[in-house]
Amino acid sequence: MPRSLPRRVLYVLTAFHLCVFAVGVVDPVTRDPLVAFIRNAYHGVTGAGGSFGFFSPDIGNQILIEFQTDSGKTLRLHEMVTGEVALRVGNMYRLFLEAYRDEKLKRAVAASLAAQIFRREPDARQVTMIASVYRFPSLEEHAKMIRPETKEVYRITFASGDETAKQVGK
Amino acid sequence: MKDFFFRPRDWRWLAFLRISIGVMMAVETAQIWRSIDDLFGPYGFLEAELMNAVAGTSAPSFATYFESHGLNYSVILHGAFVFRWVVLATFTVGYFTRSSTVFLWAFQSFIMFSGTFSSYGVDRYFHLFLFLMMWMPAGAAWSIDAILKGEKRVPSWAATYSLRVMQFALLITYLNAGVAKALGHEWWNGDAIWRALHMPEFQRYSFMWMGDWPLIPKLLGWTTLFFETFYMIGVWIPGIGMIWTLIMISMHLGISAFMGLVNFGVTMSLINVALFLIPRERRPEKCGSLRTLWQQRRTSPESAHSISTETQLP
Repeated sequence: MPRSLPRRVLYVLTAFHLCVFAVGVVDPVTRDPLVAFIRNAYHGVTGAGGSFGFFSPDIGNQILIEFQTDSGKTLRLHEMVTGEVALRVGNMYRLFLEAYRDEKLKRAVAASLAAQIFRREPDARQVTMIASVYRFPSLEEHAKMIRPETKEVYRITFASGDETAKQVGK
Repeated sequence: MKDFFFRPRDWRWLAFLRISIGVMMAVETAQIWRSIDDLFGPYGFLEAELMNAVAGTSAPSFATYFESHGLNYSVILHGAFVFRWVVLATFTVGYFTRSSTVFLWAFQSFIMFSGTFSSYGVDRYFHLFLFLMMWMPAGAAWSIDAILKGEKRVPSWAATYSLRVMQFALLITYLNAGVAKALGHEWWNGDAIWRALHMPEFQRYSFMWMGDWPLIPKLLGWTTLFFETFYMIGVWIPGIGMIWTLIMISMHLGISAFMGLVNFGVTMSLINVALFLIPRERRPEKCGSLRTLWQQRRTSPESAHSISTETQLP
């Protein structure tokens, strides 16, 4: 077993890294802003930190977003890109879901996504974004003949040239 | 314990991990290539000012900076990704391996820092392992660097130590995944599997028949909880560890096939192969390679006799 000083330092550093990693995945609440900053910086640089609990603790409902243009077309952003990009678009949709209580943020996300439709459909003068929550029943509910339901939760129309997205954060 | 951390071994496991990560990152880049502006540009899915407000300074903000200086952000973004592709190629074949690893880690850090909503789980694993690989001789085997340096595969204590660090890093993520799932109730009553398979984002096939057989999703949920949470222990149990790893790999391949998370599932499978199957100790008397068995046959007098007998048979 190598026992030179540099190697001892190496052992201490790797043990430190793995310990920080193990603590970081639990995502503990940090009140001290300096500690939080250091923790986030370490996480950002090393990738060690933040929860790896994908699909946890529960699956939850999914948000569905579609756009209708004034010419009557219905477009879904995640269907216009590759599967790998669609997974990332799903993350953006979840941001919309998380921003549900923040009207300003919700509107800004909607404007940003609608702007993509204007770019893809240059002739469109109006784009309406419709956000719905897709609720898939539990096994117990399924046994009681309850079926999946989609409930519209948000609808907003943007006109071509709308500057809403640029108002965010001001 | 000393043997566990320091018994010399070669670096083939790290070479396999390097090649796997290089290939999967290149594949991922190809898949997002046409949407790079949308994911990282100032007028992408989430525009620069929105990203600034939500996540702080981000890739779209940097793109805006270039644009304000009269430079075409799209050309710069695509140029950066093309360069990353070149570096991925050198990384995968093991040419200038250390510099390539450092560049890829820095680029991945940039993406993770700023493209918060433009990345997902698989990017986090790339980042995690690239950081660790920077400190290890990722080009020590199966690489152009090794050929050019004329290095032979000398077993080293550092290879085992590095392997253990990587293994523990991966196992921590599984433990976290298992415990986080166990905290919810859907993984216990089968709803998690049932609902995950039917979410429009992930649905590839209909599994409505599971509704008539609720025990199946429940058992799948329990199995996932058990194997993820206790992987940290199970993988070290002699005779069971390899089977446990194969179960984890089949779980990832199942996710790839049935939920469309192909990159994620394949990457996780390859990481498990690199860290737990390739370095597995072989017992020559039971699991020797065909070549070893053939050489043993050729050198032992008994086998020489049997070979000559066999050749006379026709």
